[in-house]
Amino acid sequence: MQIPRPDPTAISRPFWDGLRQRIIQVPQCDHCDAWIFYPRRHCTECGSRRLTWRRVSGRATLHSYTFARVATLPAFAELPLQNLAIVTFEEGFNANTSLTGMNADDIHIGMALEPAFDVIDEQGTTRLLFTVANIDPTR
Amino acid sequence: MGLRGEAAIVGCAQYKPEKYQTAPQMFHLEQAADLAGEALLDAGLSLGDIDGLVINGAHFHEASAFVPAIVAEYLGVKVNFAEVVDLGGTSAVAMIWRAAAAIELGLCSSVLCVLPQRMAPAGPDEDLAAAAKAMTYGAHSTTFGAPEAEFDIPYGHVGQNTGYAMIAQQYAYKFGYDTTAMAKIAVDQRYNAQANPEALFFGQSLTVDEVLASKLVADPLRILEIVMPVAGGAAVIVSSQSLARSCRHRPVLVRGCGERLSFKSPSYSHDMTTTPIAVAAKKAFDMSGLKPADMHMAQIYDCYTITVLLSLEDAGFCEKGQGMHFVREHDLTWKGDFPLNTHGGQLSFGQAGVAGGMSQVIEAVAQIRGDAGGRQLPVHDTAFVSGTGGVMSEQGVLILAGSN
Repeated sequence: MQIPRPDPTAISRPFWDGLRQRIIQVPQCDHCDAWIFYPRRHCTECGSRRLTWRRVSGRATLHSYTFARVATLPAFAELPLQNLAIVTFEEGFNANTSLTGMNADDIHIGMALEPAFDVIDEQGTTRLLFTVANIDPTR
Repeated sequence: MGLRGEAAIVGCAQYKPEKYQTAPQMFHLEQAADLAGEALLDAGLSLGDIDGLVINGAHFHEASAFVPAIVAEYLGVKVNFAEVVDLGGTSAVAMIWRAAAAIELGLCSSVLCVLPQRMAPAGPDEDLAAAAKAMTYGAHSTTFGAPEAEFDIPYGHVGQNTGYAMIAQQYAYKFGYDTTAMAKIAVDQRYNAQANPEALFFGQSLTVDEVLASKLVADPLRILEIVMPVAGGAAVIVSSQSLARSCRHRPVLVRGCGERLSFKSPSYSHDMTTTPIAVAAKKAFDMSGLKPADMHMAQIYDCYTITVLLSLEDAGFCEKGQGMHFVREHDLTWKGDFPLNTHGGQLSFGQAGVAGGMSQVIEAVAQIRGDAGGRQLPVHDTAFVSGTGGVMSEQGVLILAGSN
């Protein structure tokens, strides 16, 4: 069963277009430097409407996770064990996502993650998943 | 500032929670009329006394807009105050304080707060596929442009279980986790339900071992730590204090209230383990002039055990991070030193959609009146009542006190 497709809007399109090119870009406030995720046209910290799309590395840490022992949607019932995750980007903002290519036992809060670009349809729609970081973040 | 405590809950009605398969199906308008009639009878008021109306707007079956006007017309009431509340599980708490505020403003003298939550009969041309799709996505919007449709649903972030589970996991990471203490919340509440013939799980006792052996739904939450959705519904009438004196029961004054929300997905909160109730409870206590230690009971919204734990901490009943210790050290039953959810909580009473939160309000009223039957508390003048909607995303608090 098909994973529900995110439909980009005029506001969010640069984010989704970026993922297709394996680039992560997120709006940042010109006034107070806050990162705005999910993308909006105003700063949720200071209200400024002067934002600039900027590229971020995608380096993140695992903020929390769970395993859905009952699939949350039919599309995810085929996975051996569906996981859900919240990650904190190194810039400080959080995103809802899922982890891929990891054993359940290797998942722990606080671990370093890196992006995994997941193409879900023939049109190239790409989700931003995460997996264990190859690079030691303390290095 | 705030409520002066001059409005009182005077009438209550509640359908016994039933499984959807066996519950009667009724139109929401008819449920509103039926529940209103029962609550008026309880209060000793008549239909003509109602001059304010608060109702749920979301998921109201016979209308998606103009709900209060349609309900007023159907009931046959003329109101000077009408309000739709769309705050999920904290709708009940939110309705009561809005009613009290409208009364204290002098807009009206008796407000009907009603939450019909039995299923309505299907129409001849009803689109069952659309209904099934709506059920699949639950409280999540799939509309183009909805942030959830773009940034949650494609990743499987749907439903309440996994959201609460991730809050519990983060809590465990920061403060540690005692599955036995968490199970005890469900077990103590189930004990209370054994003294409540209206409860869904009346007649079915529960042990900690049974909770810990129950099916894991979303780590660390097990099925017996999660409410069972049921058909039901509730109505409460709030009146001015002067009118309340002529009603049938001891008036239950609305002494304090608070409300807080700032997100739908807790992922976007600055700290998932400090819940919105912290602000709401402080506001409510300050308004009432009372403090946590003054409460004779706590009727805490309990969609999950973790909701209760965080509410106990953030409302000020114990220190942050000490919730598990608090649960272990206190007897939470109606016989105990910290009576919690004395009707069984929604975990054992059943959760009738957004009417579930009204079960906590109505139990506080029953206890304060002295009408709680076999589970009546010996000291029962003050109550802390909370509501929680979404994934710990919207919370409200009432401080209720019996009139002298």
